[in-house]
Amino acid sequence: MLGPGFTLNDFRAVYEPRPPRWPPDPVEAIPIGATSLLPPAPAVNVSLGRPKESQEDPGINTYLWVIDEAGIPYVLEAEWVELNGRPPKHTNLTSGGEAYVGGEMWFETNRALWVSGGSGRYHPASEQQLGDSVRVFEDFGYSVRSLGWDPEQGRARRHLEKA
Amino acid sequence: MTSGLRFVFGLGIDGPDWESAVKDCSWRFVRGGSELALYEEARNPTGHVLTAWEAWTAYGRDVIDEAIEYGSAVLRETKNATESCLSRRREALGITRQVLAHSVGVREQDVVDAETASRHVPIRTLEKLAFGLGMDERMLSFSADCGADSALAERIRILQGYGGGASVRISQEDAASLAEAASVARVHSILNGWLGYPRSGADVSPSDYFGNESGPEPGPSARKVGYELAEELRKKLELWGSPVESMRNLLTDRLGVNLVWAELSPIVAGATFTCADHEGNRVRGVVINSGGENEDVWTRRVTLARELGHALFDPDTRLRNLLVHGQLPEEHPGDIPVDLVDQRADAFALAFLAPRDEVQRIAPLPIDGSKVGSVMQHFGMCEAAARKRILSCYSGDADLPVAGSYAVPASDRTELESLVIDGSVPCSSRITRQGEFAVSVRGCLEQGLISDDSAAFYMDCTPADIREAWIKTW
Repeated sequence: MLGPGFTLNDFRAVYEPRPPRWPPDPVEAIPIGATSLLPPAPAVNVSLGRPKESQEDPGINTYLWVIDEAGIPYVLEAEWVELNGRPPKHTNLTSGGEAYVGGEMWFETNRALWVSGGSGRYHPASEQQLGDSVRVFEDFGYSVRSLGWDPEQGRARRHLEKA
Repeated sequence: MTSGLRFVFGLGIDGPDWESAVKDCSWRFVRGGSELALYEEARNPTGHVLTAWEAWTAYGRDVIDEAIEYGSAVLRETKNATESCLSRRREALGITRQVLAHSVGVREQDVVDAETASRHVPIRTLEKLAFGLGMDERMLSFSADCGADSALAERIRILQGYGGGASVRISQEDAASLAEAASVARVHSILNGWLGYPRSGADVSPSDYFGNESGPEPGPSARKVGYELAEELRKKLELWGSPVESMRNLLTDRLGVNLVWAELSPIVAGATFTCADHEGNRVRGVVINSGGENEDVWTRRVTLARELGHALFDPDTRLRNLLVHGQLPEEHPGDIPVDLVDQRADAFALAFLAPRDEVQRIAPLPIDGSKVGSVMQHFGMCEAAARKRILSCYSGDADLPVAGSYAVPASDRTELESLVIDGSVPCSSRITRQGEFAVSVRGCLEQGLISDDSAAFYMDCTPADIREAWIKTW
């Protein structure tokens, strides 16, 4: 992990883009528009939410995100469901193409994020890559809390262990 | 069907033969404390690796789909699901943290940490605790009660003397052993189901009929009912007058009874219990003390026969989840157990081992020491049981020589009633995991239904032990 000011370009220089873990169905590759790129903080017109803590407390207003050549496309799951009648997939953010990494996020405020590496299609390859993703979000001006890495699974954690 | 499920399981997952698609799937899953993920070796996960079949049957299609789609699925039902479940269950059983820790082989501090969530406890340790408490370790954090049978816990607690009513008072260590035995029986039942083994080969049903000796129109006694049940079962099994060669094999191979050996206090001979798994299926099991008087093989056979009588014929209401027994009482009719349930089972045991006609043939009146010995030898029963059976075959009208005034033969059939089926137990596994349970674990491992991680967990050894003892020999 590099020092402060870890930019999107720094991330792209360190890591390789990769195709989704498995080929998407056609509807899973329907693109989302270019306006869905994460802007530098403060974000505008976002739905505030929080991550899942348990089945009983599933969190609200989950966004999917990826880092790809365009930037950081992101989408509010609930909004996509309302428009399309089904949940979005990370491949909807990439039109089924390559990305460096993906996950979930929640806006605590328009300047503060919770971030996870919860993506089966573009899962962080390592704890380090998840950490570097967080640094990119910070470089965008957001205060970021990561849900962290679970060594028992060898994957990014998807729930908030302790608030 | 989602593209993720299709990717992992193939097209067959949405067809009528979806079970085969799951069983044949080469992908694995890995369980952490609160989440389930698709397993990838390169990520070096340290959690419990499961086959696709194990994960699917435990958590269901939706959870599997979530794990594939998002990298992992969140299992935990509530924020403190694990810790509250473990502490609640331990207290319900009436055992201390120290006793639990010693029983399952972890540090007492691990129990404290698991119950308070004060620091991270590895999933493998949490699962050991859950299993040792008689819970379904797969359900840990996933369901509120972790598939634990609260009625069984209450019964175990009562038998320690809490709340009175315990005729055989068990220790906390016994309570822990019985809780673990319930887990073994539950898992054994599941594994046998996966292997396609029949649940029961006896074609008998529980019966709430214990005779009517003291009714307004006196009928048969509970003992007579027991004799009749034994005769009926012998006919069904086509034993006729022959001695039972191996009670152990009869229970496990022919009758499909879940048999668990345990180290219990000397006062405890055996127990029969019923418990529910997380899907509400009732599982019955028999626990036999590997020590105490059961160290004598012929005494062990009598204990097995008595617990068989309870397991096959006692309705759930009579079992009250768990019946614990001391050794058979002495032969004098005045000393017979008051409880009709025990009377019937005791009588069943003696008559099942030693049918009346054969006893009278081998030991015609008058009875001397050598005839008592002949009954013992022929039917493989201990002296106390043989004496009692002879008396019952002559309706109490037989003068027996004073016990101790004659030589008695030594027990044989050690091999046939051995605790271990063969030498294939992979390590110094605890006694509760030996016998037919080990055979079923190995069978499921061989068929790819469980992972070597799971096999190691069930056998209480390491995956390396499993590979060394079982996998390398295939």
